[in-house]
Amino acid sequence: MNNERNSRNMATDVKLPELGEGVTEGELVKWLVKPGDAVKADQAIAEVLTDKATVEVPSPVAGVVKDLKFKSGDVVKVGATMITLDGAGAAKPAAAQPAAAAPAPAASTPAPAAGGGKAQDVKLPELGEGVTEGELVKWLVKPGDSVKADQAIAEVLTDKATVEVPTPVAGVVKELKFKSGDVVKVGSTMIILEGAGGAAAPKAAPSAGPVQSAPAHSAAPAAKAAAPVATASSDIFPPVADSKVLATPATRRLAREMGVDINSLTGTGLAGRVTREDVMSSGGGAAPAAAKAAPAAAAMSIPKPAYQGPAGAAEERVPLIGIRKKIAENMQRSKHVIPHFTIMDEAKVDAMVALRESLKEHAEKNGTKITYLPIVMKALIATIREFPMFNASIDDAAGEIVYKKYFNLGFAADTPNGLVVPVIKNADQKSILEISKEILDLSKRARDGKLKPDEMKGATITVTNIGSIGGTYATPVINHPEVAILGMYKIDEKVVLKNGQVSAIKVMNYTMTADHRLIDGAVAARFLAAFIGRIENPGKLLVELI
Amino acid sequence: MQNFDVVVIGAGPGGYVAAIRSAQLGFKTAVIEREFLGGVCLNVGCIPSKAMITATHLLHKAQHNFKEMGLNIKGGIDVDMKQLVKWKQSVSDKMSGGVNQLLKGYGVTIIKGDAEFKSSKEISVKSSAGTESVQAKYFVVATGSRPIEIPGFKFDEKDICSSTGALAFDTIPKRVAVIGGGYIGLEISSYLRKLGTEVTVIEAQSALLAGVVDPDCAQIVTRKLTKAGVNVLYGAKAKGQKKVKDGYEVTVEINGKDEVVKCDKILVTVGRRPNGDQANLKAAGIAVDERGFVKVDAQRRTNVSNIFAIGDIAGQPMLAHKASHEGVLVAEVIAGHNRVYDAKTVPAVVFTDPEIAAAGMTEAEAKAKGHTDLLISKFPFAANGRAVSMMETDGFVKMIADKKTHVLLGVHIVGPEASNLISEAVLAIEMGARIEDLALSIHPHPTLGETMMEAAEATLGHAIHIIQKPLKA
Repeated sequence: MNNERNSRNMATDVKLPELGEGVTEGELVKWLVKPGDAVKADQAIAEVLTDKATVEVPSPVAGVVKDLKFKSGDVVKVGATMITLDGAGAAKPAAAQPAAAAPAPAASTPAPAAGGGKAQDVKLPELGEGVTEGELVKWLVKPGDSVKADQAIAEVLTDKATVEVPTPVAGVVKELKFKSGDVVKVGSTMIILEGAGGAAAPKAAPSAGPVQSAPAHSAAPAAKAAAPVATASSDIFPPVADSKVLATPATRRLAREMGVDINSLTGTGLAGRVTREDVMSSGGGAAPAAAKAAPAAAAMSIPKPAYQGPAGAAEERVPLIGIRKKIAENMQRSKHVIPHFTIMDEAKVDAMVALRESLKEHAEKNGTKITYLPIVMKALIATIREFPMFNASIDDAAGEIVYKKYFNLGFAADTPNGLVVPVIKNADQKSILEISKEILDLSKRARDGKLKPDEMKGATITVTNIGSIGGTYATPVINHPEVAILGMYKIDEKVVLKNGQVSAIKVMNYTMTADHRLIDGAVAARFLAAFIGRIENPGKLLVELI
Repeated sequence: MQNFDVVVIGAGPGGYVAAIRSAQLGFKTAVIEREFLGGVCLNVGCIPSKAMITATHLLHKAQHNFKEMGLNIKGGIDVDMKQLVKWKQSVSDKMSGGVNQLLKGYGVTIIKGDAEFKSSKEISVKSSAGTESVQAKYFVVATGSRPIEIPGFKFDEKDICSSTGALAFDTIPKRVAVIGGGYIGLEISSYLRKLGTEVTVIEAQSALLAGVVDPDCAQIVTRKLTKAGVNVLYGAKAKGQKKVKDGYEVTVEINGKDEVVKCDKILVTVGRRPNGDQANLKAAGIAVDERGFVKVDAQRRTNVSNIFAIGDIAGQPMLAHKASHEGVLVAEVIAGHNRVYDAKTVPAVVFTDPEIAAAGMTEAEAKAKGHTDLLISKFPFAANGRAVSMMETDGFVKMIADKKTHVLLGVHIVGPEASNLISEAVLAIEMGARIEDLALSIHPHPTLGETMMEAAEATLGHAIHIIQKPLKA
């Protein structure tokens, strides 16, 4: 549009630009330049006080200051000439419009240049911050179709949203490289176009910024947010709050952002108001499949209190990033969502210690060593078969309890980078020897930071063994969406009186921390007793072996 | 050919807000406007009418209250209608200029011209400079509404006017016939009467503002209008008009009989219709209902996934503040935020004398929504110190709450500054307040705002400044 270019090479008047809504004039506070100064485009030339704020007035063009038209204290009307510049030539389009003016940085398009008629690969562009891949939902074109520049060719589902992928150039579709359901990495070739190059006209136009899905218009202040990501969905989830729900507008918005259907919550506030806390503790439901949004989208809103130490105190600040940040978020989420309670007891473990001693040699022959952990895991699985809710999850969004018929046991591993939880998948189908080997392998790779993400996913219950380091009891935090965590502690000797005789026995402490929404105290106590019964008599395990 | 992330069609209170919010969110944004920035609201609606109302309100006070207050004006007051209209225009121009500056300040491209969809991704903009093509990933349709014309009364905006023409009268008309006793007709009738115009309101129903506001509120305004000399014909249907020597004769049918209303100007304010027939929405595949509203979902998305609609074109109520709220909403939806329109109430304000303002449900609506037992109270402005000191004691604050939970359901105010007082009610309703919350919040004295507190107390049976019988349990 009106891109008037002041491409004059003579003297130029610099006027007081519009300073804000309803502001018609300002008082000149001081000059930032004097006659004879060379000024660059956008350099501030004066400070002007309006009834709203003091603002710096930039010169839209470069040049040498010839004269100043006002002195400090003068009231200058918007539009009045403030200074005259000599040799103003490096003109920029009208001031106050930096966004529109900045020459578009070379299009992020693989320059179509003059290469009319050639075949060209259309790649998956960057889809947003931190998004490296997406799942191909569907093709919007088929081989033989002619496409225009910027036409959408496919819908791709990322973990944030469904986006339409445009082609930067026109051409005829020769080949589709993926099929629906495939995961496509950013930068991979999606389609090949024949006769590409010709129609990329808008890219070449000097004034129009290239519009592609990538945020190309870097001049916009919040360029990062510039890629539009709205997705169409016929059903709004969660549904719009019914007017009967009492909740403040901010709480209603929080619920929506967390993917919680506020209509389904019971308010604990005055007169049945749904409070911010009610929403937070509802756990943040995942959007149902229909809404297409990935469950991860239901972000937890974690409070961010500031910490201010005493002035001059010896403190060091390091960024809270990486694994530590992830742990912090996970722990906080668990504590937000799950009402925790812990029950503790002691087991006599002479028999288990003897069993392990007797197996040492056999294990070594099989190239591994047996710790107490795999035996504990087997006892845990056998006990879960009796009490299946310990291997469950709560689907808050659906309002359902999910009982899992498989046993994936996480175990907390202490690593130099912090706590990680590798998972023994289908532990019920593996022998103690196999589990031992797997534990050794996973622990070593955990310490080396070489675990793959899916080796830490999908646990149905977790065992933590911090007691091997110290402490008699602890209250471990449940790894959401699991509902329980078993803690085991160090083996100790204890003096007992038995039939009037003093004797020494070996004992080991156990804790069961459970999700009180699902598991009552008495049930947890029975569970722990049944579990300890197996630990105290490992022969039971053999009898129960499937 | 220009390319944008977001293109907003229409720069009214919905459109320009959507454009600014889009730009704030980092989108390359354009707004297309064929007439004036700020739309009807800033140019020929809300703002200029309030300028006229303010001026005539002062005139009225000077004429009727000053003497009693001991303020004597020597030689009477002249109304310089040309200056009044000029001043009114300057208010509109200032506001419209402000919108221009804001849009520019945020880097929004302003395109002047008539927009027409070519497809769901492209529009053409026609202006005196020619036709250009504009493409965008997202469009926001904010093309508003226009006054409804009735058969036999074609607008010339000089003698047969919509609100637009009426706001531009540069001489005080002697006799005006106002067809339609809705809020626009009555706002204009109020101030014309204060200028000395003989006003006849021709209303088809049996009451003014019927179905628009709480009937108790409408009654106060009706009484005051009548007292001020406005002639109201109820159950009356305007059938036609003819030019005669000294003005116009409007034929009106009342109870099957024709009568004639003589006047110089005819004002037709029977409602507004959405501009669903404009901008060639069909070419983009946008569904429009039989009344001309664009069909939208709770995110204000049309049936075409990259096109949104807001404001008057997107459904009732046709109010500027609802449009602005939707403008922010759609920009944030486009940016990928999880937002929907879930306001509990859209306040409504009528700038008659006295003003009427409402938020939340009426008694009938509350009952329809299942609130069988209600607490209802009225607190009169006559019992409020500030209102008495302003010599504006007509009216009351009426509150409706659920008897079981004491949750505030609706507030209806008729009286001085009702338009400003209603905001407290909006906040209270959105927050899910109980009437105790209003009663227990200390309100500053002496202010009109105290009436909110006392009305809340009155629902509980113990307002201080009126004598209440104890409520039955």
